[in-house]
Amino acid sequence: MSRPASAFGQFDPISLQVLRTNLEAIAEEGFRAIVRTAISPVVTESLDAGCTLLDADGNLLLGGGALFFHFGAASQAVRSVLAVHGETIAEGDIFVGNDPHSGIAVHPNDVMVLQPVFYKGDIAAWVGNSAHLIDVGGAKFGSYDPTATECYQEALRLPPVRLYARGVEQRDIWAIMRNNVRMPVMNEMDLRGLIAGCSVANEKLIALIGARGGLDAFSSGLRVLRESTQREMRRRIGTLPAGTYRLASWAEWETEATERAPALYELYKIPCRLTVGDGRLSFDYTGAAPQCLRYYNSKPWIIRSIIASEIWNFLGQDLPFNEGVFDVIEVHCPEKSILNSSVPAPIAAAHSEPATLAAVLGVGCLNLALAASEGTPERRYMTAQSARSATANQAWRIQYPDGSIDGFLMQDAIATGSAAAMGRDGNDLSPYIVARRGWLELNEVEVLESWYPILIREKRPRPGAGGAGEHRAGAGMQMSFRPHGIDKLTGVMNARRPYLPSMGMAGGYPGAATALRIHRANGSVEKIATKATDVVIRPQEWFEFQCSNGGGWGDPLDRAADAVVKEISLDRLDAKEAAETYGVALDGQGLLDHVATGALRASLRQARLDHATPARRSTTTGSLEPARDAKSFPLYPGVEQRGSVAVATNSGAVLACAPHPWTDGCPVLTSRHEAGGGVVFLLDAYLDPKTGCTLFFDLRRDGELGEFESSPLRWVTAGD
Amino acid sequence: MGVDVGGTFTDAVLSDGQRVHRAKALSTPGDLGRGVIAACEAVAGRWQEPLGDILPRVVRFGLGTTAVTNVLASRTGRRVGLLTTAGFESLVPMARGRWAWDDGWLVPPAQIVGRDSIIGVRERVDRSGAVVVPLVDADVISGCERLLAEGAEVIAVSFLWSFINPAHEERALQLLRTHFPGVPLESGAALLPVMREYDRTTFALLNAYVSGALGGIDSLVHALQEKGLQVPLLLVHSGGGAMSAGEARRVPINLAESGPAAGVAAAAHVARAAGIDCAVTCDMGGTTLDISVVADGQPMRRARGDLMGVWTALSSVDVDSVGAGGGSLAWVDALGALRVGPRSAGAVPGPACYGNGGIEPTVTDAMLVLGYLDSDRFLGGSMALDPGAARAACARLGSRLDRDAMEVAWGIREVAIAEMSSAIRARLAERGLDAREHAIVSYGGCTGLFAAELAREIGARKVLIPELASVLSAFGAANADVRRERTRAVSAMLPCDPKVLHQLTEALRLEVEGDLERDGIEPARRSISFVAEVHLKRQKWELAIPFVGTGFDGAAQEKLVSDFRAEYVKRYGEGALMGGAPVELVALRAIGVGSTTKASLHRADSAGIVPGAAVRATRSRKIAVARNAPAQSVDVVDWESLAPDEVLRGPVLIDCSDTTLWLPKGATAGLDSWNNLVIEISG
Repeated sequence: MSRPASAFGQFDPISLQVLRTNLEAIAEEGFRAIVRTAISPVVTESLDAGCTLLDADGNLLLGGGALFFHFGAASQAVRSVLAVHGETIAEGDIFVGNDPHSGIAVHPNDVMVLQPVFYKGDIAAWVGNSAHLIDVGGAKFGSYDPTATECYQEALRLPPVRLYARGVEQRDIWAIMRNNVRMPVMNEMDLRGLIAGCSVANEKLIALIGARGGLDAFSSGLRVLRESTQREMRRRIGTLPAGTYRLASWAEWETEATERAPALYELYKIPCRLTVGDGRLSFDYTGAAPQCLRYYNSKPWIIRSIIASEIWNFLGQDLPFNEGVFDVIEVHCPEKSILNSSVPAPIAAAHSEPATLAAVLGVGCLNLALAASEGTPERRYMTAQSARSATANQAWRIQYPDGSIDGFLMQDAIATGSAAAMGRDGNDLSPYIVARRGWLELNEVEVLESWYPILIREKRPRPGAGGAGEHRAGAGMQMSFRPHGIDKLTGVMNARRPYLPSMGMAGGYPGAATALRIHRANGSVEKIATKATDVVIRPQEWFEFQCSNGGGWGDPLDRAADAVVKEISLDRLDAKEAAETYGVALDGQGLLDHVATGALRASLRQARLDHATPARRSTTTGSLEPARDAKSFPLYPGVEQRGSVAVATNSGAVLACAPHPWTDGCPVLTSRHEAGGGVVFLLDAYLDPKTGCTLFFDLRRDGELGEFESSPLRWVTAGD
Repeated sequence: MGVDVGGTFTDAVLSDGQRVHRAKALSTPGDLGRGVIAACEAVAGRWQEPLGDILPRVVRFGLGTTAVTNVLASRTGRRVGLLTTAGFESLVPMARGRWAWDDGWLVPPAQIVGRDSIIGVRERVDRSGAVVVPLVDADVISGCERLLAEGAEVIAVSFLWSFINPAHEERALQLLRTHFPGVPLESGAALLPVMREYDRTTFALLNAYVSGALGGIDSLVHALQEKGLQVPLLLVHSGGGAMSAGEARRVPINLAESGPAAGVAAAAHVARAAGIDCAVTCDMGGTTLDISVVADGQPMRRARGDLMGVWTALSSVDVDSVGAGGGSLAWVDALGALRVGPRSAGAVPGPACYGNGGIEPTVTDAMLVLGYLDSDRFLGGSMALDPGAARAACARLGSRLDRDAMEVAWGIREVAIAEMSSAIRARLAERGLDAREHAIVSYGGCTGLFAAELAREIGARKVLIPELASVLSAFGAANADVRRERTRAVSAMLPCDPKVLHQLTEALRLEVEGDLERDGIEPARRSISFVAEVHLKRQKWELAIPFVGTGFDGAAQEKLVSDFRAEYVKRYGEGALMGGAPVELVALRAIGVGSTTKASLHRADSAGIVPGAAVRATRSRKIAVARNAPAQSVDVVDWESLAPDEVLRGPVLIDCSDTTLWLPKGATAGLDSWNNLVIEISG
């Protein structure tokens, strides 16, 4: 690696590292102080909190904690505080806010606390801490109100205001907050935890600036850190094939029928178009659904925060996650769209789906670019589509006989299963597989049961063939519980993706969708809509949720048969799933039957070809033969470019010639995928014309064309 | 006599209260006793008497051992099967949602048992202890049959809420004993009746896993007795105290942090003797810097934490390892910045200057290039270092940074100091402690070269380097009191029913009395104290608050609450504590201490010594004391030649038999009456 030029001041490999070490230690100390002093289990058990260090203008220096998307959002929060309070900001001020429409907080529950760090009278830096508060007021417990059509109904909305002014606690603000939330004690303790984190980081930053020889030296060190990070990110992006990569999906909104309203099933389309080139990644969401009357609306800076943290996992884990990463990522969300909304759009889920879905698609597009790359070391991290956005959250309200109210978020419902990766199975109970650190931790059963009047019957990875593949996805959480020692639990569902799966890669199958249900006392089982409100469970009933999982990798008929048999023995798969999805046959003793398995797999492959629609373009003409000496480049896992011809790697089948999509040469096996409200999707399996292996899956709405595109310039121009 | 069995060396210390002798022998992995006997023979040699003549007169024989640690590190324990509550078979594999990191990937953390060695049993008890689903006996028997058939050697049983109502777990154990006589069994509730099923279950699993690790102890005891040892062997456990070999065999996992804990306990002892109550102990070895905090003269402890990748409820001295040791490798990262560690050159090839084929520069290489180490006097001259190889390694790295070997070596030193001091600061800050009020106690092979610099970085004023710094864990083994702990979950909001508290404390007191009894401690030498684990309602972390084990009325409980609040504010600030937040008593812990005959430090007679007399320099070395500045000649003295009245003024290097100490400019040092080198940092 070459030593960076000194365009931005002195580059010193020693003091740069000393500064980075110190900043990391401070952010981590701030985060630990929050976790140790907050009380809500969302923070203390699941670690849903973060401590972010920023420069005087709000540029990201570093963050502590597992939720990296909080860090970028803290930048926006500082800029919002500066815009509102500007010159009046004084030493000892601490600001609070929770309104995404005011540019502070990624959703109303993730309250942000910000402290300017003063050094000898000047603002030298900022600390921005955030944590998920369980309730911030509004019409429904938990502040996710599926029936809200305006942000005014959702929560108390704090623009950036002072919690401390020149070191003096602003009791009025505390009083307003306490008066507007359902669990004021817990909120106050958690907020005080955030303040403790600010105070720790503030003190350490001041000491660090002093030790570095003052503000100018400190600031120039920060500049070097940012610019060297940016430079390296650009270099890595430069190794990806320039071109255009496209995917699309839909956020689903599903409610149950009530006395007042009919059942709803709505779809909000999110298309993503990634342009790679010029050392930049540009994500364009033109075509996203318009701003809506559900809490699905978001903001471009939130999307960018999430995307940057996910891109960093793939391309920059060894680099500091600072403004230099943001410098190379552009996000365009059309105005008045669901991803770029304005008041009065409800915004409770501004940081989760559809915002997370937008990010997941962005990462999917990056994976298409990685798949077409050669010599990019990060290609080894290729994974199928993540179910990161497809959580099964619920908020439960408890009323004790004495009238007091308590409640909790079923935080373990974020434990979707990860997608499979090239060469490895996915992780159970974590949406992540390529990442620097795990994220929200799970709650222990005894801890949950000691805090809340519930009895848990089961907690395990969800069985089934969702996310099947040569390498399968990890399983999502399956858990059931009921009220215990109390007459009922009342829940508000905030789950996602009841029908539409996360997609596989390299011919891997789609993942499983989210499922919520109640097992009634009479033995009947009732499906619960993912946005149902006033869900009541009685002591003789069980509420069950099953989290979704990511997509699989590669054709499941290529999976090692003994791995399938082992999963049967662990109750992850049943024999029927093993036979139908994996083509694995057992003998009378339940052991692997090699011969029968080989025959079954061959017949399943042939059956796919027999039932497929022929390829869009004929590939039998002689002109499509690749030149003998043509250099080979990857296009997609299992598909390569030889000169101006695309070829299936394993079978050698010729698929297309440039600039046509390689999928044109695949027979397509289409199956119906029923969603809610009678809406039909079609799942297209693109097959290797010679072997019947699945190469790629696409999901499209019936009557519409697929949106998939992978167009490296190298391919598009190969025929010129 | 104290012995510490480390990965490479076995150290022995022999003391009669006046004289202390020490010796080292090579450790003998797989045959614990041979290395121990060899070290004993060696120290007897120093004493100039045959071991057979000394052993009958030994009144205390302590052993710190990595036997359990090695089984964990090498993953060579017994095959364990787990019977747990049906529906919850995956809780252990889930590992509470914790993940390890491996080269860009998130991977499941280390596992003691796989999912296929866990079988669910139909049973369920709720949080109040009421039976919700009765135990199905047949499940226990068929489950165990299956586990044994699949190769399990030990069976662990751990059910939900068994610490509140152990009836199902006890019944299951009884069934297993009847149907499978001779199969070793472990029970979560019996070993550690505390809340949190994961921590409790992994504790039982780990204990089962290492249950064969102390096999060598019996033959060692036998060999020592044959040579004349009259007293029982005491082992140092993770809590920094001692326990009898018999008791250690019952819960061997307690020995997992034996060596480091013995070192910290001894460091705390040395500090206490020197009048220092608050200290950070630093032990920098080849691969890591082990950091621990001493508060009020006692090593700080933790009730749960990570044990070699497995999260568990092992009560231990709280030791943090940072990947910064003498063998830590320097490298250039993607930003073009110079980095040090956590990758280490290990024992093979070791630093480049060892001449065993290492070509990447390590911290040791850097210190040799800078002149802090003397190539001819390393480990007392027993090992020659190759300065040319060290310089070449630094130069090689430097060519990628456009820097010469000298500047790279300086950078390695500076980055290593930043990493280490950040780790120490984080450690203190996490506990809300002020570095300026702490001294550094420095021991272990590489610490002495950095301790004064680290003190300056964190703002500490004093560094203490014990005479026995290189064999401190062995001294700890000879010096530790017997210490036994028992913990019970309480889970009650304060104030609570005094009767419940009274019953619990009495039960704990009896248990600990029994432990001390089995360790052979007479009643007159026992003392028992209590600690309450307290937090605000629904908080995750507890604070350990000392609790008088008598009187549980309103006033006593109020004091507990106010002590907790005071400690909380002290750590996290006034703003962090909300008035009126309910306080929960999570658990009670009884700590039984049995005072034993033990090695002690010898206090020199300081009468007639006039401090401040001049220092003679025996020789000098050229070393780099600033970046890009020419090397400067610095006085070098030998520790052995130090007189009690000498005051050393930095810059000075002090060569010891097995290490080198650095006294920078602005620091002064001298021996105290315990033969510790005390460094004072000013400015």
